[in-house]
Amino acid sequence: MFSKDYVKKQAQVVGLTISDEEAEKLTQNFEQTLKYMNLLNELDTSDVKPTYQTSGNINVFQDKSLNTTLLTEDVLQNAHNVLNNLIASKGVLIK
Amino acid sequence: MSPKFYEKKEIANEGELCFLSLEESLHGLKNKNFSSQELTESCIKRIESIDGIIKAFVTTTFDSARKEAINADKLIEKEGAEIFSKFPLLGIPYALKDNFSTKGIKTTASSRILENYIPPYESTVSDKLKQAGAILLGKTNMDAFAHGSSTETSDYFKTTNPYDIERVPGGSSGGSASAVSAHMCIFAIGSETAGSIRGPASWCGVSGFKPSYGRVSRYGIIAMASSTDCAGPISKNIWDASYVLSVISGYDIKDSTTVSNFVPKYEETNFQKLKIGIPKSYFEIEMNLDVKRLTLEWISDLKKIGFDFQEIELIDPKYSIGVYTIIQRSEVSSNLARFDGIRFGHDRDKFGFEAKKRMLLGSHVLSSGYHDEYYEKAQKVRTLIINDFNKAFEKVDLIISPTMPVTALKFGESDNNPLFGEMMDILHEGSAVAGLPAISVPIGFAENLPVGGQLIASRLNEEMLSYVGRRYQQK
Repeated sequence: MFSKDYVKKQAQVVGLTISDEEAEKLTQNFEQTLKYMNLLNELDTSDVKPTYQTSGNINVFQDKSLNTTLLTEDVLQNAHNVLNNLIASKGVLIK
Repeated sequence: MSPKFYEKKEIANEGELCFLSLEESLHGLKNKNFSSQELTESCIKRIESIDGIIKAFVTTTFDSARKEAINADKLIEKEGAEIFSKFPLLGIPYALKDNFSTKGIKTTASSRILENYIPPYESTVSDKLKQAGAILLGKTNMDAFAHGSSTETSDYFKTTNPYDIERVPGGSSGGSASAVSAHMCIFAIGSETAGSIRGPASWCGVSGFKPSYGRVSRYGIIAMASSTDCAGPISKNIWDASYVLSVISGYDIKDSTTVSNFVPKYEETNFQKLKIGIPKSYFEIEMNLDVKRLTLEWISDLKKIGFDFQEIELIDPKYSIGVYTIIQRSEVSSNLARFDGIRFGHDRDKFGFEAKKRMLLGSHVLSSGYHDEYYEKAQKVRTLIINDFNKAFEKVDLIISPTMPVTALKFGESDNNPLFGEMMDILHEGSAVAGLPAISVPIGFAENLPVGGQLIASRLNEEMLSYVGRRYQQK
């Protein structure tokens, strides 16, 4: 199912760069991992609903009393590139 | 009792204050047998003398710790022992896993990508500990982004096991477990997605308490798999872990997955009669025979104390490996998408191999055409596992098993197994995806290496775990 090309394509989707050597290793890793994932097909889940969370909380809304915010200078201290008190990034649109 | 490396080298001094448990430390501080400065200094001295070998800490905060100890002593001097009802951990030095955000203190999750990251806010857990008067000694090493069960995937260095420095401490909270085991702190905080508190506690011969999902706030923890991530204490005994858990538990306005149920003083809870289930399937997996023998001896000990036992059926834990792998990889790929190298941290090319592996598989199982086959299927089997536990808890109060199928491995032994962490955590994954609480307690030694025993409870039933753990350790 997995090929080196497919793994490299997935890497592009999640914004990662991987070497040929890594792609080779990942391809083998994924095949081994899939064996365990495919074990789940032994179980009948035709009438079972999925569970996405276990807290038991439903319809949770943000409490309005939570109105704290971070200071701009605190947020900017970790930014890679700051311009005019704003976080700057590389251009995303090409003219 | 197996000697740790520093005992063999005769550099240990059992009289040092750092060897005290939390309960003993609180007693000593309340009665002014020693000061917080002396207790803190003892831990710092210990870290300075042996952390070059153990390598539990990625960052230390000795200057602020010393200042806080002075302030704690002033408060104790002025207010007396009563001040501890307001500040239950006043003057107690502890270690914090490096995936808890600490305002103004570097927080890396042991990853290269976050090597210079200084959080602008504090995690709820570390904030609660600070409000309770606890003193931070430093941040502990872990598998990078908590991806692993050996602490070998840290982007910085490998933490060693205090019982054998050629072996891993377990993970991902390996630094926290090693720090407690080597008496470099009075207690530590770890986190687990599936087994990262219980596993290293077992391999390092200390106690670990994994609470129910939602019992302790995840706010400010660098996320791994958000639907199972839990914070909890690693300590010298279960009384200590229970005491700390009472401090850090509770609803948090900043984490919508926390629950508002009452938080008892876990260390004070009592039960008249409890029945413990022995799940056949958990004892039929491939495991070290000494681990199995010690677990059966532990069961005999608990019977002698007065607990009842009954054999029960649970779904084969091999299925939980697949469920956990799919859910965890999916959530990892989503959570690590935020690392863009723009707002904080380095570029994504600084991710290590383990993070890349998890993100890529997560992205695959979530992608169009595979979502139903893997992700949806895993969430349905998760329901089966939860129903299975619920059925078991109709018959028994707790479930017992070994914590880990084997004792601590040597460095590098896991290198060629892409599912090493998932295989090691086979006895944790079911309870993790079901959001159940559990403890690991030391139950003996196999070839001079510690073995841990695990107890699992139904959701929000931490009290029972605390009670059985304390009764066993009081024997």
